[in-house]
Amino acid sequence: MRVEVSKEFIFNNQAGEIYTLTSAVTDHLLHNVPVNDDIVIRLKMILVELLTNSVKHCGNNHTSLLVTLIDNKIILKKTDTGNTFNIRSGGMLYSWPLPGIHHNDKVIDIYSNNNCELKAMVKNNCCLNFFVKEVGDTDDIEHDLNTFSEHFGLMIITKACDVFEYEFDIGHCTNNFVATLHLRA
Amino acid sequence: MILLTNNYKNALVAEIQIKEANLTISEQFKQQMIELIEQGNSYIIVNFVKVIYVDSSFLGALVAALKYAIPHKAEVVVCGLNKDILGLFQLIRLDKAFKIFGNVDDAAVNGIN
Repeated sequence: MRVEVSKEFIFNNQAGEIYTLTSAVTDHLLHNVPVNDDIVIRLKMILVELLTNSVKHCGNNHTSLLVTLIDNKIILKKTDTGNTFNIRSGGMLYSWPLPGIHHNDKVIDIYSNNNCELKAMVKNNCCLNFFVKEVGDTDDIEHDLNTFSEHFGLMIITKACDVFEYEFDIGHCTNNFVATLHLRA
Repeated sequence: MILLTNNYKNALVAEIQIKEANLTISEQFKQQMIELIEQGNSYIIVNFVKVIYVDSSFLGALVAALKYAIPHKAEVVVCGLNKDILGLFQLIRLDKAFKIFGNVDDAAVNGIN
């Protein structure tokens, strides 16, 4: 049976509220569905990084966090009216919404860390799907460190969840980041 | 003050004093770590025992400190991670970059060996 539970949380883009809100959302979900420790840990990682992203990029406006339980999935949708979402890659600046559809299906390299490459596929001029390509371990940790990016936020969310997408809502001019976690037995 | 430092055996222990290790303190943490490395400390144990969560900005600062340590012949290790923070290190493979110990004593023994 398809059962849906949704609740909206409001975040005031203050770093001091990140832990409190993360705990509130986690408690809400635990109240509604039994989840194992692995899911709880990943859920907290995703929440912290979604909220941190808002503190960094959304200015004084508030952020909406819609938490939905449906079909054995947890869906976290963060919506804000903050700065335009940009990615610099290969000498180009991608800014959403993209002007036109000629980038559809294009894969954009975002950054790499310790043999994990964060990439995103353009689904259309408003939507982007993040994914990580694992390229294996090496023994040369010193070399790896020198190539380490010091940015981890999108990488953490992408690795912690099952599906992570960005969507620009043209009708409302909002940025939407949607992370989906599958609840496994 | 973000880091409370003390010498223990052959190590310098830098205990993080802030419960929420996030973007509001990451730059200051990085600068304090760089100062400790420049002072000639060759084995620094960063103790997370009081920290309840870290964010990506703080991890970026920690990695920056480690990168700074290598050419200065210093080693940075971590201890006292709770299960959420340990899970985060493992998720993004920082457990390959940092030696992780349960507590200061275990980390200090490694520094002597």
